[in-house]
Amino acid sequence: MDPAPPPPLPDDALASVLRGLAPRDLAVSRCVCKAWRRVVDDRRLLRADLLPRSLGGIFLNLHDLWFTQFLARPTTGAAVSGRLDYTVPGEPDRLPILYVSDHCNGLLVLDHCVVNPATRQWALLPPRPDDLPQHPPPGMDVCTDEYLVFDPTLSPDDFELFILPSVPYKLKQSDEECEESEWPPSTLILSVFSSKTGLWEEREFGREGAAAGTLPGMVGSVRSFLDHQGCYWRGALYVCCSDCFVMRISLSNSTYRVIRLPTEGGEFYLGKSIKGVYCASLFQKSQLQIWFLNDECGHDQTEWVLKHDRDIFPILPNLNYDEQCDGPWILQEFYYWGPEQHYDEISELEVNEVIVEDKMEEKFEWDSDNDNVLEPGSRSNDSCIILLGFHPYKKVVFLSDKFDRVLAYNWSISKLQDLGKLFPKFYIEHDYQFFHRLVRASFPYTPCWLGELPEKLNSEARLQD
Amino acid sequence: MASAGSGDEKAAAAAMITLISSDNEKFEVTEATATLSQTIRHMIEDGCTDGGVPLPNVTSKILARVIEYCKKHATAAAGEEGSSSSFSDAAFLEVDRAFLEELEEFDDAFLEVDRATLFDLILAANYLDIKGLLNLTCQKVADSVKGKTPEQIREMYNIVNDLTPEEEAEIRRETQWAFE
Repeated sequence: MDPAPPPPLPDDALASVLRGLAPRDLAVSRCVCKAWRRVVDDRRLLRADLLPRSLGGIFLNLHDLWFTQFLARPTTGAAVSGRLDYTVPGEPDRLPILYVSDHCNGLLVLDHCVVNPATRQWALLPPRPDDLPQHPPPGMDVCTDEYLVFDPTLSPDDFELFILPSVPYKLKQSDEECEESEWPPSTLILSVFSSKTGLWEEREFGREGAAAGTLPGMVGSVRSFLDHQGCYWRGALYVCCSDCFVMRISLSNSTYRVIRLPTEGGEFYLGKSIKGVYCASLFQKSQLQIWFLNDECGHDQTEWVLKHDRDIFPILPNLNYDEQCDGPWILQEFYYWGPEQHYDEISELEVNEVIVEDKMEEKFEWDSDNDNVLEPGSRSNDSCIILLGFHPYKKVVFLSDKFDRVLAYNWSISKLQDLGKLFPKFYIEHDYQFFHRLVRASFPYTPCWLGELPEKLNSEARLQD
Repeated sequence: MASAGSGDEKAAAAAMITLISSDNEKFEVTEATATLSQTIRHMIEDGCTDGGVPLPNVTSKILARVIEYCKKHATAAAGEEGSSSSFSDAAFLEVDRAFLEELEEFDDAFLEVDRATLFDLILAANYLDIKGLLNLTCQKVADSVKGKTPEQIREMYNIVNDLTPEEEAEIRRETQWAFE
């Protein structure tokens, strides 16, 4: 016989135990026994409805424009505004740029702060370190990009910000011959900001497996690509620092490995969707391929699995609107500077009254009777497709076409839906100012109503000023 | 804290209370130690501690540990108060930090117990209403549960699964994201 089980904890004591748990562990605790489930449920310890489980829209960075725009998905719940100038209070004439450099689970990184647009909480960031912890070889330089890590199911009150170097490029004026060296280096040293300490620190990651290549040989391999390619998925950061490989940076054990991209050349988008990390790529302009990174089967067997491969040119609709109008999704337009200050105001009441829907999944079903499901139209040969990201919870990739409409493509049923316009009115009208209309980066946004940004960051950063 | 009543405090600190465990063992503790327990504090206030305080829910083994905890934390609290007048601010901060570090070390060592004892300590802290001890022990259990599966948690704490397979499947469906 097993020894008699210990007396169960009284509900109050059990609640004290469970209150110390993150949402993921609370969800698991509900499955232990009836008493544990009762305590979690009766005391509403798990607020899964506050977690980022729905798509709120897409943040868009446009070429030559220092203000991020927001294409908002309609919702019956609380609306989220993409307007971010409240993070710089009291200086309407001297606003800095309000440009989103990354998004992770409902948090956005701007130049000066990290902000949660759903709760309108924000925390100032101390200045980035001036210097990279690892210098490129002589005669070469690197660009950097920022990646945010925020996992509210594990740690609702903390975030980290990583600065990632791209593959070094050769300086034109330099004749210096650089010594052959591996890239990325066997020990990658990154600047990381942790909200727990409020400090920038250097963190080392040891490489598992082979390097992507050698310098200076790799220099020519870098082609142009979207500003920002990467995502966080279950304890690892997947970052594309050139358009031929991905670095999988494991945050728990401080290692990283190099994963080749499934495609070479052409446009692609690396992001997360229903089951993990996906790569969408366009081959010969309209051949859309969706690859899934199968990461489960152990370290050495990471492989890309082709999930979809189709020329979408024949099904692209003809949406040649003379006047760009909103679709079911509304483009919130923001231009904060000067006399032409412009922003779409959604009612303050709507934003402040946080009504959280009880239902976890939303009604964004694909319905063949729906007006917005598009029929193929007559097209010219010039397709001009741009990839804008993945729906985080559905087999949907967002893209835009030559008519500057944002479309959702469901790859399981090969159907397209028109969502709305891509460019703000002022961006199109002021073509003397914005004569290259391009998308620099796009972030499908999942609102998070949970978590408190550390207040002390704000006060400390102010002291530094 | 209380500057006017220092004479009373001294008297209170000298007063002894007898605690009686479920297996009839007697423990003599100072009132300052005993009143870390809100339950005992209320009994003292109500004047019903003469002849000892019977604690039928707490064994002598567990009560001894609880008293060990209360003594340490009562001393620390008294030490902090006493030191504030006799040191300069900087020196006071230094002493303060030393106290806190020592207390933290004590707490860490205190938690080095098997799981059954840990549960018993939680039960005792809950019954005696000792907030610090309850938080300390509960956090220890919470830390041990982090990242585990339901099966591992049940095994660790010898918990019988009284959920039907259907109920369990339903719970997993509700929060699929936590089980992937």
